[in-house]
Amino acid sequence: MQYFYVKNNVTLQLPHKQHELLPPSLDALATLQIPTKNVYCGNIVWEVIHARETLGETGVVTLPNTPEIQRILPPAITPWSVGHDLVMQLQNIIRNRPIEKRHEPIKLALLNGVGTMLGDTLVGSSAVEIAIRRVTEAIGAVEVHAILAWNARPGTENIMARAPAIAYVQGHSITLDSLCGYDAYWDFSALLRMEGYNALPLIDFYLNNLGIDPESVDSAEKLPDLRLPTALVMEAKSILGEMSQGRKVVLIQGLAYPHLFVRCRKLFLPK
Amino acid sequence: MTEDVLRETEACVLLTQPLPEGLSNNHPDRIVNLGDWCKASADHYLALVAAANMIISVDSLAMQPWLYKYRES
Repeated sequence: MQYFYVKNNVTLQLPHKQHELLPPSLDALATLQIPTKNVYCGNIVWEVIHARETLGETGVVTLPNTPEIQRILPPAITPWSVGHDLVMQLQNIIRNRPIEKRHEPIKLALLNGVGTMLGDTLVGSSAVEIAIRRVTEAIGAVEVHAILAWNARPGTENIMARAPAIAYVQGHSITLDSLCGYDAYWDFSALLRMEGYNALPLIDFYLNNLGIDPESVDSAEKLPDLRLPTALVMEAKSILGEMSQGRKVVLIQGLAYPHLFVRCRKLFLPK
Repeated sequence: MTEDVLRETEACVLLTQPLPEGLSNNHPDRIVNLGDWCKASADHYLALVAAANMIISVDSLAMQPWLYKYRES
């Protein structure tokens, strides 16, 4: 988890979205306490880079992840392999709530979504579905909000929005005070450095980090869901049908990367 | 192995990116680049993923030949 604030208003723009960052008040900064309003957190790397392009190096302040900040945050959900099962973690949170709030739905934030790429998001959002089904059966309704990184690929927002378990999707980082409004959060901000990313099957990596024992999930249930507008898939099928004339169609990804096309190079040499 | 599969099955090969420099499409009847169609949106790209018979990924753990459960939305 990383934190930053800007010293002046700045509007970040990408071809598919824009977002205005606001500075904390001078009064809040003068208290020498950590301001929570307009301090942004999560996977903030690209917001910092883009804000500095306008405000300069000194116009954007990053903050270390100190114990003082950790104290004001809601609890982070820990992986199944190092802690308790997700249901048990949430039951503990419910027990520690004030009595008058114990019957309200649990509100959970998913920081950095389940990554910034389409493939990660397809698999990760399917893992979120499995996790939330378990939680709902055990403790009742929960509300999950996906907070995507600024550099999340176009399309990740759609994939997350189509996942029935996700109630709300945001395409930029969250402020500390907003994060404090959740009962708990998952932090996928440093996805590539998380335990098991390049070692476990991707679905198992996500299940474990969501707090679910991967071994407890049936393999058929682990197949990722791909939710798309029907008309678009029909259009793609029609194009492929004309192209293939009854033959199988193999989609090859990543061929443009010089170090990767070696596996297929002979296909492109003269007959 | 990828290459063997492609040769033996006589499958059509679908690309979504330009070929690397120095390579040319010597099998225009079999190798088609639908990159332009994919550029419309990520959903277009994913629709091809859903419609293809097989996916071979040379750069991503996430998209290796997974069998996706396709659901209408």
